[in-house]
Amino acid sequence: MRNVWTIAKREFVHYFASPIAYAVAALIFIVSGLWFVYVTFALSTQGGEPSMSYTFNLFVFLIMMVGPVLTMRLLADEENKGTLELLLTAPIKEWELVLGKWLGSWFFGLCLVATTLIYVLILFAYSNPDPLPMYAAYLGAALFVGAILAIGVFTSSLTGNLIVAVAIGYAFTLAMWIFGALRNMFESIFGSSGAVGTVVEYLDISEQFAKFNRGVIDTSSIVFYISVIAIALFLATRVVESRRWR
Amino acid sequence: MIQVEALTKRYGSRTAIDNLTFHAEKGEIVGFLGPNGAGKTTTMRILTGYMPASEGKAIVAGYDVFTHSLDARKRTGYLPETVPLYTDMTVWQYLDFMAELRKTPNRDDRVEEAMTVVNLVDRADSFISSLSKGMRQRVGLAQAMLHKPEVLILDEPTIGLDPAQVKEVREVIRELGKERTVMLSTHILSEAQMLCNRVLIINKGHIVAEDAPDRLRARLSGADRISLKVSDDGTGLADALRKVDGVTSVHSTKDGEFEIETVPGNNVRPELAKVVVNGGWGLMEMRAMGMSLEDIYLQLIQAETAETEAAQPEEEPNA
Repeated sequence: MRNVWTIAKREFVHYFASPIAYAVAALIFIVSGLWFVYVTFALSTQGGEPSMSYTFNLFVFLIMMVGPVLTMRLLADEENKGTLELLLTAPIKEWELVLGKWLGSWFFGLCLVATTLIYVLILFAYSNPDPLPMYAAYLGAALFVGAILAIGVFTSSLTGNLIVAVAIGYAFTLAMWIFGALRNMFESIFGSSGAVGTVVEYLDISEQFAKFNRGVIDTSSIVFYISVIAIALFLATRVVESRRWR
Repeated sequence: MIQVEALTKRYGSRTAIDNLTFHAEKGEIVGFLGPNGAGKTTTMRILTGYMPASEGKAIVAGYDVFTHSLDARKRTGYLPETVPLYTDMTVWQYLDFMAELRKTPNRDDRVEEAMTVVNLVDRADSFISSLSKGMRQRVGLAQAMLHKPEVLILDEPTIGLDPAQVKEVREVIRELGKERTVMLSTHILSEAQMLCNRVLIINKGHIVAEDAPDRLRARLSGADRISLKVSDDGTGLADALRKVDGVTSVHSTKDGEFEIETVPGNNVRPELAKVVVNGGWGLMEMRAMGMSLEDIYLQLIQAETAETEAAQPEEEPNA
């Protein structure tokens, strides 16, 4: 496990030295900040309850857009620069490398999530919102970020090209984002209790987060995100291992 | 320390190394010599556990690199051909990171020590991206010896360095080779000649010669050669020289300069000198011409290439 920590630490620190991470953070700050101002203003004029859920909805969408960018270099760049040779000839196992890479990016992702706390502070300063759904939403956001980044780590393992890594990353995450929309189609084909529809709905990465955002902590949603993380990291490990056999 | 038996690696239908067998002992610097694409890097990558062999066995520092890869890797230092560095880190950060990955005890001391050996202490806080190629090479070398490995595998360690740096790095390698096993690849023949206790010449995936550089030279030259220079054009000298006992051939390379081949082990130089002086030619220079490793190398590689081409003439264009 010490190797995992060594790798994670390096990756985490690397984000703070990289312009991409700052650009990504700026994007999230500006867009989610404007959205927060707009939504809060609209809610207050229409007499709605103060809430973070609208801001979170946009926030996770932004995370999905920037996730593959944050993870693109994790393994692809090692491959590209030849440093993978260095890591794979050091006494370190492939899973330690992959897990460390993901953990490092996840810690950075959690920092991005933490930036939204400033909106929460503002809400509490000027109104009296219900804190309980926020706990659930933060748990959901942490898991969501973890899953998106794990998928990114996997797609980064597939290629030595950063752009390709990002493109494949989008292919996976956007597909999972729109799975929910397919549910209606399957329902009309197979009837309302269609098993396929249920499966497709379960795989909808945004719908799973929406449950947390409503204040519901559902074990099946937690299992969903952890499974996505585990499967993505497992596949990434196998891909890295396969370099030895090609 | 390094024990390789019948190692074979195929990439699809292409055989990169074919039935390679060799060994290297502790305190030995073994040079791996061969043209590009001969299989040097492939062999080194197998020994360091980066890729598996198709067949055969490789034991490094007492551990099989296939079945006990982690144990073998722990005891190996490796400098790949293109020095892999994290350019966003400083020299210190990079070496510290590598030392941590290798679970080196007393990390700070070891990093300091390695930087001292490669003469980089004053650049400890420089970003690797700002270093020259030679310095990067030295960072790579420092990285390879951080954990005091029993076996060091260096893929072209002096490539891209300026002559002064080459000298320094060779000094470092020679020092390291005293108590460790060093295997280095190079296509600089003089380097192998200077550094290595033993040279393996490899071509098209198999070893064509293996011996100490001096012995290789002695074994392959077959005849002793002497170069002779006189002050005038040396008319008639060639005939006079041919009459000396032990001389097998004489030919003039240009006016006043001769190359003489003699029976090996038969020192005829005093006799030759006498002929020159007594005949009234002004003796300017006379020296023994050893066959350089370069000659041996070219001779071996060419012989080998000719052989395979003769055996399978139609296969070459597709290769």
